[in-house]
Amino acid sequence: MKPRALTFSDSELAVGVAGGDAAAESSLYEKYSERVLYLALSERHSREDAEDIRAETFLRVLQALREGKLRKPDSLPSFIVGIALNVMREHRRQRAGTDALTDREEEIAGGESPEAAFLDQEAARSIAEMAARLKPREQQFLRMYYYEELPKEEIARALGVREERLRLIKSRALKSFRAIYEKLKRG
Amino acid sequence: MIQNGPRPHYGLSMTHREAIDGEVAERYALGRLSPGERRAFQEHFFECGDCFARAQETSRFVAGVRHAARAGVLPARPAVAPTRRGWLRPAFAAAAFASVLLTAALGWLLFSQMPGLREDLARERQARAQAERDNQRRLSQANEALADERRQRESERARLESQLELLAQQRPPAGADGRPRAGAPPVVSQANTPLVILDAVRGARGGAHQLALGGGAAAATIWIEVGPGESFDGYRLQIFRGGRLVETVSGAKPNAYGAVAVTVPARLLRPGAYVVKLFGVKDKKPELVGEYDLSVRGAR
Repeated sequence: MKPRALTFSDSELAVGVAGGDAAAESSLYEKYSERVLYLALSERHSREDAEDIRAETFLRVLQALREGKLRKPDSLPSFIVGIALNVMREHRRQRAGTDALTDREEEIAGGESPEAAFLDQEAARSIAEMAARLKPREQQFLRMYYYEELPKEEIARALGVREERLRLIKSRALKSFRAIYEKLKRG
Repeated sequence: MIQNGPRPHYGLSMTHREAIDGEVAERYALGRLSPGERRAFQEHFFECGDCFARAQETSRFVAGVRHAARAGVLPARPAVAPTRRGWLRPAFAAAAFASVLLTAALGWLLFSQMPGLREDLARERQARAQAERDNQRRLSQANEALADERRQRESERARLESQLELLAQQRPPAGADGRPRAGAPPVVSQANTPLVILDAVRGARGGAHQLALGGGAAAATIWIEVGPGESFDGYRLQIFRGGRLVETVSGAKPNAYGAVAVTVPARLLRPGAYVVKLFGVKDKKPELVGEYDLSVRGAR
């Protein structure tokens, strides 16, 4: 059985919310809330700020839909992205006005690295288990590519492998990570 | 941040195929998209569940790898290998040339000299093993000879001990100094023991004293009077025949009659002329007390 949120098309959701349908509002949130949160996190906001941005975004989306401000119901995803980005811009301006932190890096709470918001306990464990299964050269590739952000050509030369091989290593590592992570999530 | 080359401009629209082929989810997670690409992909993953899942997973993966790298789980990269142009650099060229020479020398050693060296080594090992076997054999023979000698010595010792025991049974009881005690009674009781009394006059040389030994006499007693007032610890008597010492008796003490009495086995006193010397001993130093001529007759 498909999740309820997926039983509505974007147009149906837009029309339903505009008509005051509570089920449509719930489905709308269910379908897009994770995306809005991820969008905020990927724009380097802290998790706490991202939660605020998500709440504010949905408040405005629901209000706009009720007021009939969405002209093309099938462009609902783009409409939500636009509102979310506006909320983030306002949020950033407010933060810049209330404290001296203007650097985007410094907006991350606690001074933690931006990507730390994506890292949960299972992900950290999955990476450690995956790394243990890799050969030393494959481990070095991951470090050079994702951490040191070196160009593939330089990495291939340093490790003595062809660039096609790097793509394969990356694919295998990601696949291994996915399997372990899903297993840990299932418990 | 890595600068990527020119990429197609998506405007605000991106197809799923474009997202997959361009590895856009990974580039989004790594922050390597242009602002236009970034906005296009954001609108795309709001529509595309697959790309949204891919983007989330990649962001999680990148975060995890960076975290692992910082924690040391992922090892540091090795030194970057030299480029082709590096061969032309003098220092590197010299090192490379030295490596080539070393490799050639090792190859020559391995393929040209090694067989001969191995043969020498084998011969040396064989000779050493043979020498070791010879040494073992010699050692074994020496041990056997030693064991034979030890057995012979033990046998000889047993024989000597047996003889010693037999002699001990025949000897008179020993005194405190381990010597046969002077004046000790003979093992077998005997009548008419011969006796000679020597004059105890210091420095005097009278005629020879006569001692007649009967046919059955086993011993004879020499009786020498010593003057009163002598304060020796003891006396020593020596008997000479033809200038050769025949017997010495130590530890003698004056008896109740003021005389020193010494019993000598008759077998030592064959007929002939003897000289008897008496020494007084004080603080282990002997002092001549008297010297006497003795003539023995009729000994068996």
